[in-house]
Amino acid sequence: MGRILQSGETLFAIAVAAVGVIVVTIGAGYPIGDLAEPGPGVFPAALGLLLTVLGLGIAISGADQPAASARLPLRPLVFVGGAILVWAAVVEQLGFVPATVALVGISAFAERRIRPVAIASLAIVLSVGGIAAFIYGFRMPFEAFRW
Amino acid sequence: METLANLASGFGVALSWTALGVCFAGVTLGTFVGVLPGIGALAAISLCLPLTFYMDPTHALIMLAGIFYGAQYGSSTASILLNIPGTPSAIVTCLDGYPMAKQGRAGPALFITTITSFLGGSFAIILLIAFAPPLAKFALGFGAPEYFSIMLLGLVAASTISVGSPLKGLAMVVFGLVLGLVGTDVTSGTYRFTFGNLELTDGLNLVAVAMGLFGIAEILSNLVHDQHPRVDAKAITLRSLMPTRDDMRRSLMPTLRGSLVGSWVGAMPGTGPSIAAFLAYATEKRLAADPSRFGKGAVEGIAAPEAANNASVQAAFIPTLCIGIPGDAVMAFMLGAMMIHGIIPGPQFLSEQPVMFWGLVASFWIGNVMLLALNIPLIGLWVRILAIPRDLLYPAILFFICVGVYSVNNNPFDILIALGFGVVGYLMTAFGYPAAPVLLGFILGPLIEENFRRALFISNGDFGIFLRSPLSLTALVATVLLVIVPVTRRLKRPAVQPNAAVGE
Repeated sequence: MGRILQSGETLFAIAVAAVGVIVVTIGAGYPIGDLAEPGPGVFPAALGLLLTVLGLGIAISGADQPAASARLPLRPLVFVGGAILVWAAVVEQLGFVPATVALVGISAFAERRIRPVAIASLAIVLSVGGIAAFIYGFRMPFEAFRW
Repeated sequence: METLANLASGFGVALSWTALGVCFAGVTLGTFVGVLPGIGALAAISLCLPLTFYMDPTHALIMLAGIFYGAQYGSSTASILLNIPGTPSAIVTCLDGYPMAKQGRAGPALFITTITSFLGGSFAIILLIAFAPPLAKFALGFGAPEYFSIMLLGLVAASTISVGSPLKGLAMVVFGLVLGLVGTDVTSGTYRFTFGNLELTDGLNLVAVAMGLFGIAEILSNLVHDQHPRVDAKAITLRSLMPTRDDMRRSLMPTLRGSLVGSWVGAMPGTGPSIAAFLAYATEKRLAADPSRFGKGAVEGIAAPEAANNASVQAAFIPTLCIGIPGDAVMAFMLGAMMIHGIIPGPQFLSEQPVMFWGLVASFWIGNVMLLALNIPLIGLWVRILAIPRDLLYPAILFFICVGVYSVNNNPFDILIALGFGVVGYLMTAFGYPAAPVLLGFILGPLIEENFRRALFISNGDFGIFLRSPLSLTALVATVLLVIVPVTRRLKRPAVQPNAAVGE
């Protein structure tokens, strides 16, 4: 399961440096001010520069070490991410219960072994418990169903 | 005497039914997440922060703090039974706790870690009571340059004094500071890094960032690694818990020394329970008549680090509450929670809100007593938690994450932010970048920038203002040393140990 990111270590360090470059570029657009009254651009520029230097430093110092590899968790990423996205999209459109059932149902696929009865029970328990605790208990502005 | 009178009024607050209730809820939840590997105190505290919006600030802080120190109690359970730390600070407890369990002495190990946790925590609470008022009085004299320099020291210390690469730690603290820039600049009102997004003008949502980095990222990491530990819950009965007389005798001094080390470390900037536990273990090993016993089930090897990590989490409140400068990411989160509740942390907190301060301190000790009661007779229950099937646990946690993040602003946008940070946090952990400094930088960023700019405004652009105050100068010198020492050490000895992604 998952794809192996070979030598992603250096790549990630370069990504850190790239974020730094972006921060400097955008930060330079804000007023710098002067020494007595530093403007909102000073910190972004300084931090971006520092991040760039650190990212490059990590990339260089890591080059002589054996490359670390990480597993890109494709299956968990798709189903955990999907479950969260669907909950966020559905909760205001269709309501709390449909969102929760969808979240539990989708995230169950992050595991290879799926127990349909246990998952269905969990969806029911969380929906009912959630209505009781969050909607009635804490009076959060959810609607159980909405269509 | 004034302190005692204040403390008495604090107990008055903390002993009200509501306060007892939220304290109990906090420590119970803390123990729960502490026992469960893969979800830590930070995730639990950020999950509960939105719930505390419905409480008064004192009760909110009592509950959030309870989760934090409660998690330290629970964390030793999985270390001892499964050789998997419940939270990063319990890694050291695995070293001798798991061998004890393999020798059939899991019961006494669990008993001793609970007792030493209680003693360590209580010791640090006494220090907190004694030192808080004079320290807060002293800190009233701090101005912008002192705040800037001490916070800088805290950030650098948190990123370099940890397991793993100091460069990566520093990069992550800077990344956190960058995240803190997002939103409206306090001084000038300029929108920075909002990309035209109205949702971002208030800055990134603290709960979303923390839940992403510490909740979703952890779940992703755990789903990748296929381990599924099993534990025999029935083997732990109350009778099997009793330690021998020899265990008790051997634990006494390590517990005391661990409490001392933990309190000291906990009150320092940039440290935390992991370092406290590690130092306490190293101290015991060095002092032991027969160091070879360590790692094979020496009771000293669990007593000292457990006393130390509990002492350190209580002592960590000293700088946070008295100066307003948190030492680690969890304390930074507490600071953020206080600000959300409209409390300005700092030396004036104690004098302006004495009831809240002393109520909170009193609740610490009450919470520790509750934890003692929760952990010893009910240990069998907590052990059963380890048997919760993973395929049900993670969807449930994801559900709570979604509800928690959404409910801060009733905004689905924050959930997307949390997911983004979850993916980033997963990759960071995979490549050995610690997540805790990101959160610390994110929370302290706006404060550090504000103090920096204010100091220069006061001095009319003269950087000497940071060097003329002795305290500020000391902090800056210490900061420079913290950066230089690891670098020179690395140059002298190029072979570095493999990165361990520990972030607490």
